Amino acid sequence: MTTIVHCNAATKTYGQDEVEVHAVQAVTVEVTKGEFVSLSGPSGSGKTTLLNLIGGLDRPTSGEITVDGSRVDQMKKADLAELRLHKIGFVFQAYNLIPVLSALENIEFIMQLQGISPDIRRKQALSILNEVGLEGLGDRRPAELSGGQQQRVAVARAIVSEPAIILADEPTANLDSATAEELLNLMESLNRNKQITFIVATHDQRVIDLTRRRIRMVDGRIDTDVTEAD
Amino acid sequence: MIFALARRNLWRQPRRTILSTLAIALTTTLMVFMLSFQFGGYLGMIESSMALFDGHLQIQVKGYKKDPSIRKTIDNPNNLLSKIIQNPKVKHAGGRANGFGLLSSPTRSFGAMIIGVQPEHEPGLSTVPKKIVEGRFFSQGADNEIILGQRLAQNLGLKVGDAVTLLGTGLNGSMAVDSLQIIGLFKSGIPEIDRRFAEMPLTRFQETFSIPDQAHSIVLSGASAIALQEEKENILALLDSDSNLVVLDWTELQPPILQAILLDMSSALLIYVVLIIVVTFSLLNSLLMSVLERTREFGMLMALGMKPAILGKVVWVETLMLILFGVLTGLLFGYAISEYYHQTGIYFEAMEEMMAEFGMSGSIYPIIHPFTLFAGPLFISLSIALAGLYPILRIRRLEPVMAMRKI
Repeated sequence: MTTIVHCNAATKTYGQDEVEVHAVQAVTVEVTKGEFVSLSGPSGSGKTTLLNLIGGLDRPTSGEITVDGSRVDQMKKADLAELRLHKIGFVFQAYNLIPVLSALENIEFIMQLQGISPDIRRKQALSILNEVGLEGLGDRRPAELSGGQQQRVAVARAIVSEPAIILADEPTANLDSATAEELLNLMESLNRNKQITFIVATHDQRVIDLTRRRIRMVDGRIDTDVTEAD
Repeated sequence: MIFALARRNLWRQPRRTILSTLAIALTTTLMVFMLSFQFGGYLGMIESSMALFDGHLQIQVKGYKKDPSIRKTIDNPNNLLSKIIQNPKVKHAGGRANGFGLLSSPTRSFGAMIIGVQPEHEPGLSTVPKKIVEGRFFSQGADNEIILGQRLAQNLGLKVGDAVTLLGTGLNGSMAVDSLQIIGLFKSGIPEIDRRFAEMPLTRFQETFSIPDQAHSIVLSGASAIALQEEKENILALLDSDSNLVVLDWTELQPPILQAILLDMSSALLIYVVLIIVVTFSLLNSLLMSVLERTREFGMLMALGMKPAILGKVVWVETLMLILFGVLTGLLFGYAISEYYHQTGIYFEAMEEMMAEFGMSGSIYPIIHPFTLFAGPLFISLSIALAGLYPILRIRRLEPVMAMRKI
C-alpha cells in the first residue's frame, strides 16, 4: 500500500519556557492510500493541530512529516503552497468558500490556480458538481446556498483536482443531522469509489462510526488507533 | 482570475468603493482645474507683460540687458531682420533703440525713456499702438513725431498736436536735441510706464541720438512667448557666430515675472502635496480596512494553495482599478471645467488692479495642456499606488493558520 502521510515523532509546542503548550507530542502515524481516518478526541487534544501540520498550514517544532513523498517540515512557504495546491484538499468547518465566486467558480478555482485550461476545468467542475448533487446550482453564490450545499461545494472543490489526500476539520459541525448524514455518505462514497484518502478531525460520533480507521487523541498524543476489519 | 476576483471584490462593499472612487475623482478634478487655472494665469501674465513692450524674444548685443549703454548697438538691423523673418515661427520682427532724455514743455520738464520704433513693424510686436487713447500711432514714413504715456503728457501739461522738446545724450557724449510733435497718447494701465515712456520713429531716433543705421534690439514675436522660447536656439543659429549678439527669452527679459511664477508655484506645490497626502491616507485607510476584514478569507485562500504573491496581485489590481475609475472620472470633470472656463475666463474684480501691474486684464483663462491635464492625476495615482503596497506587504506576512483564526 502506498503511504500518503507519514508522521515521525511530530511535535508542536506553542509558547516558550514556563508557558509552553504541547499541542502535539511526538506523534508517529502512517496513513496509506484509500484510508478513511477519523481523528477524534476532546477539545484541545491536538487533532486540528495535527491536521494543520499534515496540511503544511503549520510547522512542527520537531519531528518529520511526509505527505505523498514530500518532507512538509522542511519546505519553504512557496513550496508548501504548491504542495497544498496539488496534493492536499481541505474541507473546513465554516465551508470557507470564496463569497464573490459562484459555486461552479469556487470548484474551478483550484484548477485555475493549477493553470488548467478553461475548457477542461469547466467540464471537470460541472461533472463534480453533479457528482455532489448540486446540478443546476452552479451559478449560485455561496450566500444563496444552504449550509449543506455550501459544504458539498467545499467537498467538490477539495476533490476536483484529485489530490493525494483530503483533510477535513469538523466538516459536519455546522450541519443539521440530515444534511450531515448526506455529506458523510458523499465522502464515504468518494472514498470507496475513487479511493480518495480522507483524514477527518471530528467530535461527531456519526463520522467516527463511519470511518474504518479511528484515531483518538488525548493531550497531544495518540491514545488509541483502531482499524476496523473489512 | 486576478481581474475577475479584484472586480468582484470591489463590489462587495459598493458604498466604500464609490466613496473611495469619488475621493480620488474629486482630488483629480481639483488638481486638473487648479493646474489649468494656475498655468493659465502664468501664461496670461507672461503674454500680457511681454506684449506691452518686450515681444517674445529679443536680440541684443551681449551685456546690453544688464548695462543698457547707448553704445551697445546692432549694426544694420534691417539686414538682420531679413534673415530672422525667414524662420517660420517668427511672425513679426522689428528694430528698436532706447535712450534716456528730458522731455520739456514750455512750463515743465520730465525725464523719460525714449524708444525708437519701426512704425511698420511695431503693431505686431507691442500692444502700445492699440492702447492709444488720444490721437493715433505712427504711420509709415513718420518723421518728427512722438507718442507719450498719457500721464507723462498730463505731467508736462501737453496734449495731442503740441510740440515737445527732447534733450538727451547721443553716442560719444554728443547732445541729442529734437523738437517733436505729439501725435498720440497711450495708456497701458501700468502707472510707471504711462508716466515715463515715450516712443518715436526709429529713423528719427537714429538721427537725434547719432546712431545711424543702428538699433539696440531686434524684437521678435511669434505664437506665444513659450513657443518662441523653444525656437531660441534656431534663431541664434541664424546670427553670425562672431557677432557678439545674444537671444533673450521672456525669462531673461522679465526676470521678475519668472520669480513671481516660481514663488507662486512653490506655495501651490505645498497645497498640492497636502491635497495628495490627505487623499492618499484616506485611501490607505480604506484599502487597509478592506484587507483586514478579509484576513480570514486570505488565510483560507492560502490554505487552498494560493500564493501570497498572487493574493497581493489581486489586492494590487483592486487598488489600480479604484485609481483608474477615480482618476478617469476626475480627469473628465477637470477637463470639462477647465475647458469651460478656458472659453469664458474667470473674472476677478477684486484683483483687477493688482493684475494690471502685470499688464493683465481682470480675467484668467485656464489652459488645457498635457502637463495641466496629466501631472495631477499621475502624482495622485503614483501616491495611492505606493500607499497600496502597504496592505500587500501585510498580506505577504500572513500565515494561513493565524489568518484563518481571525474573525
